[in-house]
Amino acid sequence: MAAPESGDGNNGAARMVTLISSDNTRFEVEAAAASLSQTLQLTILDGGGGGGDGIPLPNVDSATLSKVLEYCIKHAPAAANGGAPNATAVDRAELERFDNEFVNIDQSVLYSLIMAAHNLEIEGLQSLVAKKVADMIKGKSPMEIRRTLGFPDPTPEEQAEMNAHMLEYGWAYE
Amino acid sequence: MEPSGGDLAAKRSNIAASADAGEDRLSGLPDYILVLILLRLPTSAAAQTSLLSRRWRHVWALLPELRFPFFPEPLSFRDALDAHKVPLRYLLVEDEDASAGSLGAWLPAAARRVSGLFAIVNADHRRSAREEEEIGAQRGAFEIPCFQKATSIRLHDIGSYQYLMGNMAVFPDLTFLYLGIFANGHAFGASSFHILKMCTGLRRLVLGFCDPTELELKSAEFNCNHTVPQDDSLLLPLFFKNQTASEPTILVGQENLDHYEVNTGKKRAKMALMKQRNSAIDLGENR
Repeated sequence: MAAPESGDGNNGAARMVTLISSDNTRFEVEAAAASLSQTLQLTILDGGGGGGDGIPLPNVDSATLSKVLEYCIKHAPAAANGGAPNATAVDRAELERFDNEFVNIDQSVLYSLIMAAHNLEIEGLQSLVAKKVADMIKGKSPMEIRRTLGFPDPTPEEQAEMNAHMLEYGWAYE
Repeated sequence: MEPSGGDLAAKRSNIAASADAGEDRLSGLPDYILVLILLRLPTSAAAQTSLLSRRWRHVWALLPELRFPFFPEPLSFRDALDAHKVPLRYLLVEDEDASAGSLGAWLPAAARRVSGLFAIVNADHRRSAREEEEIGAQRGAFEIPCFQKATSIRLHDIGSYQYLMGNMAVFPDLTFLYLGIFANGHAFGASSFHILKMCTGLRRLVLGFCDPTELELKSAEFNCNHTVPQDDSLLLPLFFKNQTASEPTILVGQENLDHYEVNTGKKRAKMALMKQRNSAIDLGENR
């Protein structure tokens, strides 16, 4: 799962940093990949996360962090190049394929991911997951959305409330 | 990148199990995350999520941008705007043939809520001038309220309406104004002049002239102060037909309009810029 060595200014050997999840699992990852997180980037630029220290991430559990880092490692080379000039159509298509497959996961993992992406300020991941969830909602009736998202079926009382509310929201329908 | 400890697999299966149990976990996310998701939906779909549960009732009201490809039902739209919980940095409403009365019903609510760009596009500019005049008379007049906080307003093709400026309506923060108007319409003379008088902070003005008998794409554009960096996001493409052969005169009563460009295609447009000196400038042929 190692990313190609991108210029890190460190004589070829890519600089590594250690991230520590909320449940105390340590992840060693290239600084370039971790730097996709705006939050981590500052710490890493200051020389943090190296050696035995590690950067604690009290809001991210190991399952989520491992998924986040999978995204970062895949996207780090393109981010380092700024998308150009050696990003070919093939590279872009490969990233798109990766992204589509990457979000093809359980809803609960998606939600943990979007929280982590927000906390770590990883813009690409944040919009990738937001788009995925939006696509799950798009073009569906409120009942269909409830089923998709795993809402329990409404009680008769809730159903009556929904009907009344739907009248109030008539303007939102073309 | 391998975890050097912990029970990753166990954790994963725990999470998967809770999702399978039909538990709605999306509702547990904080508002700001739900807003990020709703921003990726068409506005009407986002508004409809308010039906999902009590938790969702007001999430859509936190959206900072609303886009409607139709004119919503006026009175409830007005109420919805008044109930909106955050200032709008973007409000776009686009359709054809709204009555002046229906626009007048929700415009004041929009004026209270918009702190960024406000746009109405009334997409019915394919009629003859005579038809427009007749329709305009049927539509009646509406009042343009005071947009205290808007920074940009675009009104497309509302020249066939009669519109009045609200009492004391000023647009202090408006820096960009787009008016799509008909050469023979009510908007062309006194009303435009009046609007410009009220836009005390205007830096960029675009007038689109539209004569349905002529299908050439033209526009006239005034850069009110070219030394001030323009906000590129506001430099929207202009597709407008030009004035009639009768060479209409536009009076611009803005002291800070000191630079402007005119793109009128083949025909000549005569522009008079009324500055402090009261001098009129004839641009003549320009590019």
